[in-house]
Amino acid sequence: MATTTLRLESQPVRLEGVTKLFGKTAAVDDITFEAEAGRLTTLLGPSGCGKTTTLRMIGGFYEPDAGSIHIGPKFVNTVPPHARSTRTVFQSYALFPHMTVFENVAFGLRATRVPRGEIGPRVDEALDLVGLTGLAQRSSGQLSGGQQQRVAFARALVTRPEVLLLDEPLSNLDAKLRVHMRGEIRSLQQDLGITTIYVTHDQEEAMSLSDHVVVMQAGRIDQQGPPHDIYERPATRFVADFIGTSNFVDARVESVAADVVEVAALGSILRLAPPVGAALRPGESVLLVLRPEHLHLQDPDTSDGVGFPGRVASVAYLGAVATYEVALDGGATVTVDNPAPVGAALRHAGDPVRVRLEVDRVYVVPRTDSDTIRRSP
Amino acid sequence: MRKILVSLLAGLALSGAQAQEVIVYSPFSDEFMQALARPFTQETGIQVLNIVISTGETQSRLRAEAARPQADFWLSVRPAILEQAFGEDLIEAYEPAGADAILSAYQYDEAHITAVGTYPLVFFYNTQAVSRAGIEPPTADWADLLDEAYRGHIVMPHPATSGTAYSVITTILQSQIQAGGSEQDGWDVVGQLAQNVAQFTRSGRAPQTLVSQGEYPVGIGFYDAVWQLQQEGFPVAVVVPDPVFAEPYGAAIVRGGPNTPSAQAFFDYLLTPEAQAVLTQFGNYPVLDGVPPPAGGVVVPPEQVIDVDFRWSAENRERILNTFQDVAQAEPQ
Amino acid sequence: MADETSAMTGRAGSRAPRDPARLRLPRALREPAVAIAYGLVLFVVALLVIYPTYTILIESVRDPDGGLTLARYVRFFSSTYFLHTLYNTLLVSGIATALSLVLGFGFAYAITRTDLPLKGFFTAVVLVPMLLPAFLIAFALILLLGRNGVINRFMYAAGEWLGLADPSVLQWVIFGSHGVILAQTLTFFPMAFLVFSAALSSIDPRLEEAAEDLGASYWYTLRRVTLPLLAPAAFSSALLVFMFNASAFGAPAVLGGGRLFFPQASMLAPEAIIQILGLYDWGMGTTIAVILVVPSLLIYVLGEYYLKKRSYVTVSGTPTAFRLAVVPPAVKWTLFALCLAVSIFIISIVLVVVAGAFTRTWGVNYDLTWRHMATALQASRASIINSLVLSGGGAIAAALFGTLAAYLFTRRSFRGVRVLDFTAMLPYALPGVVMGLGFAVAFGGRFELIVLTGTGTIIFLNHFIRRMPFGLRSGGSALKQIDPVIEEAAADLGAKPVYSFLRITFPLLRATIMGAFVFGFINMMTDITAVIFLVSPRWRLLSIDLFNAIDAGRLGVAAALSVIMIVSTFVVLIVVWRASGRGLDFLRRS
Repeated sequence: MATTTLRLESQPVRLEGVTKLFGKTAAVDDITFEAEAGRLTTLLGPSGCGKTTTLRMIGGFYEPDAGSIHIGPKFVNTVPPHARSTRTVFQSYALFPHMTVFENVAFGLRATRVPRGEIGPRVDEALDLVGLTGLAQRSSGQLSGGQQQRVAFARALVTRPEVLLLDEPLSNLDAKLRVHMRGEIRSLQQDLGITTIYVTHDQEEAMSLSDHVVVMQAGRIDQQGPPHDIYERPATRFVADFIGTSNFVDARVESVAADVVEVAALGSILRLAPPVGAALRPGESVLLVLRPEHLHLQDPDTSDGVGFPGRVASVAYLGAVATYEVALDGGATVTVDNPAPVGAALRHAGDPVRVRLEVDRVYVVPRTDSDTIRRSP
Repeated sequence: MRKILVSLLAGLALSGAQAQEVIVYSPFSDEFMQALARPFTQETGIQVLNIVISTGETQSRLRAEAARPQADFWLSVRPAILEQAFGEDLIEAYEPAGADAILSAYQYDEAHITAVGTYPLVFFYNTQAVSRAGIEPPTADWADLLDEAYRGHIVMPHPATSGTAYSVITTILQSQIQAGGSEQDGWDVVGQLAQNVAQFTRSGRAPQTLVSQGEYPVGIGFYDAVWQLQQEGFPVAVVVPDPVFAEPYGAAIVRGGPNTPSAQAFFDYLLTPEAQAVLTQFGNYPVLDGVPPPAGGVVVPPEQVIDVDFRWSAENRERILNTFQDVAQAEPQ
Repeated sequence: MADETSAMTGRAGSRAPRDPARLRLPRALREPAVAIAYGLVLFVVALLVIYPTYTILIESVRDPDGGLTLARYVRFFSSTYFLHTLYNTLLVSGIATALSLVLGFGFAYAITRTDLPLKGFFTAVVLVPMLLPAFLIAFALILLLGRNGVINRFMYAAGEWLGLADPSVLQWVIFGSHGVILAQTLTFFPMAFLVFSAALSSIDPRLEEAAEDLGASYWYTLRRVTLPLLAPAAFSSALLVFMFNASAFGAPAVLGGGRLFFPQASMLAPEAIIQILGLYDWGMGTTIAVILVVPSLLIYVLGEYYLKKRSYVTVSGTPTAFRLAVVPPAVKWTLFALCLAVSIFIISIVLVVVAGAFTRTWGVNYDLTWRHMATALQASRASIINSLVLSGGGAIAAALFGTLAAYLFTRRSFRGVRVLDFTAMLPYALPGVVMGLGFAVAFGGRFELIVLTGTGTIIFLNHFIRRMPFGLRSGGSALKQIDPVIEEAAADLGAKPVYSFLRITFPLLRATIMGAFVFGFINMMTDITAVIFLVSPRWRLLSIDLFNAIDAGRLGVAAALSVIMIVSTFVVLIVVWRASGRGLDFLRRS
């Protein structure tokens, strides 16, 4: 997609205590976050977590049952979609099947009574922007999936929205095109400086695109922050599990101090950074999050750092890395990703090993996510 | 589609415009009405709008519409029905311009009864169907129709929906009374006749067609429809019964109709030789002197014509219909 | 969100208070255009559905002294005559329904599951009866099978040739229950056909393949797999066809006279008309109408809200290439013989009417003549124009309004809309006699609220409201096929509801609206049961002229009027078809 001179008046979007009920079920339950002006915020979560419902409330298709939504300074809870400054790119693109590409893109301009003379140039500009120059007269049914998506973007952007809402825009594309479009969306968003809220269930997409990630589960927000924070310091078992791969090891809180907690796990006492967003009490059962790539296999007699003895249960050789299942003597089984060594050095099932931890990359999360979080003040 | 819409709107708008017209309720066919109306419209410019409905339906409509009459003129009504309708304030009295030229036999004292035309109530039969059914053609004697041989072979209209059939019933009742019997004797005849009737039709003119098509061999009904079917070439023959009901039919102006002056003009026109001549083309007999009867029509000997007291007919209508229902146990079909 | 690293966990200090606007109005109604449209729908439904139905109900229990009475209902159920009317109706309708199902299934199975020759021809012919009014079919049967009908004259001649003592024994005369049943079967079996062929097409053929793969024979598969899967379709089409049969007027009026199962009695719908138009007994007429409504309404409710939930539509994710069952030759050729015989019969119905129109005197003199056509064109010119204008206008209004209502009920729904939807659908279930009578009572000056007697408007409104359900249902099911996200996209791009409806929804529904128009138009052109109460000298209708001509036995003119009706209907349909050709194109593309 080409760069553009088009600049947009971006606005932040702020949700406070927003709840949406369907019948008696809360699809979205008391959520609060802000999508900053000009930045890309991702709502990430498995299907049914409420992320699309949240997006539809921002777009005006649903009305919150409680809480408030502001776009810039404006309270928009009850503003119908057509009166909002948001534009959505739908998962299915929702191109108008009875219209050409040009008519599709011009629709928003005509519907809002933009002067006739402006429409042509603006549509052309928008089509240039998404790299569809020359396809204006095609019928929307004659386009490939990727082209349809570009039309959907052009159609949304041509009206110069304050906020762009993207509902899993890449899910209908094949894997290769998806990676390519991801890059285009990011550069387009940054070029235009438009506030963008992006809904996806694909954590890789979320990590690679976002300025800010909001992880949702069962209608609630588990954690939000920049991508590396979410990955590096998962606040809940769910986040740790959903984003990347994690080993969970049972542990017990021994003592809690301002900047350190002591936990007992696998027969040792570990001094760790306190978890984000949750207060621990001594004696509480917790989980340790161990990322496979932060564990290292050593010969059993090595003794640097913190490590636990065990035996290799299975090996999967994946080329760049080798993934080991290791049964620790303490009872737990953990997955370890190590750079694949030269063939001869590969360990085999049954080999005794020592699993070394990077203690500063071991995180404590409450045993049961939500409840613990909700109890906290 | 747009055109249809436009013409629809135009049509709805037109219905409000006042053209010179007269709206007629009559059992006469569209063809008949148009032939009758043509000279009138040419002369006066008044359009004749009609709807083909039976006497019973017309009565229903006039009653339903009494508060806001939709029609101006009612053509072909028995004096008894006119008497009744006048009593209900549905029609108004009017003496048409040519009324004094009406033959004296067809003159009425009542201002609201004016004869317009007449035709006898006859027996008719399909010559082929009679032989197929293996029965004798009917004779002029009513009693012969009560023979068991005719069971299921006779078709006549139902008195509740047809003035024709009501005339059949009153003729039977009156002939018994006038022969010195009681009304109950008349009802016995009606009851036996009903036993033989295969179908009581809703319309007074349906028996003629059913017989002409051979669906039934024998029918009872007015001559004009038989005559018209004979013109078409159907194998239908006619018997003038004795006594024969040959009461004239009249016409009336609907009380409070939207075009009363036009209706009066139409009434005047009906009693001109020109209009009377049109009547004879459809098997009707004129009420004016000097107008020839239908060419090739049956002869009705005056001495056979029964004098039915129409006032008695009108006053007893409800009772007669109810009794008929009990006696015949049949509904119009 | 100043501190990005301190992950927030979705806590709000306190819940925001409930939005007070929510408590006032459903969200859909806060759009002024939507609220106005709902107001319009409510007004139309109240005035044209609820009010006439209510007046009929009241009229049937109104005492002459002003009180309320159930005396007429007591009279109905204690009178042998009226009970016989009811029995006649039930017997004739029951048998005609059973036959319609058999024929409808036979045609549907032959067309969807076999490779019979002439399938295209059968498909076209089976729809012909839908273009013909019921009483026209009955009338054609007289021309064919009346005592003077072509077939019976031939049979009589054959009897004479054989030297039979009574040559008429070979004749099969159409008058009577069997005639009414035959006419109604021919009239209504296409309805069963449509339901069955839709159901057969929606059964995944892989189920039948699976049965055969498991070793089941053809008959076993048919009996244990195919037919059970069709049971809901059979049941719902049985209900539908019975409902139409029970409220039929045309065939009993033309063929039923005096020779039904209980020979002295008629059937319910004609009886209601006789009570009103003949006997001027509004109370009894409306009572019979109400009695007629009850089963229709029960059937409708049953079909609409109970059966829908239990249909076994087996939709396969990916469309499978349609496979024709391996049908044993005996079955195949039996079906072929059935379809061919019925098709020939249907075609002869049309042909005999055309022949009758140009024959001097049917059964007597077969010389060709233009006389009937000239008479019909002259005498009924106004009726022809009235019919085309009122049916065309009514059908357009019904299709557009029905679609608008369907849009509101599906896309701008809120709690309680189902009740409105049900009420708006009622004119579909209510017999024509009831709707006609309801209008005659409600707008006929007996209640002074609105008097429309004698106007074209009353016919137009009656046409409109009785066919509006076509637009409502077909629009509703078409809208279910259109992803609502298309309309959300329009709103998202700034289109207000009206703009979005006109530019997006409406164009996408164009083919559906055309379908509703066509169906409504045909239906109105051929209707008599409702409009028989509403015609007036100024507003006569072709169908009523035709019925009168049949009733008076003027066969030549009746046949000529029939030809005019069929031809003018076709001309309008072809014009509409051509005009909408472009509108249908995009559907084929996408």
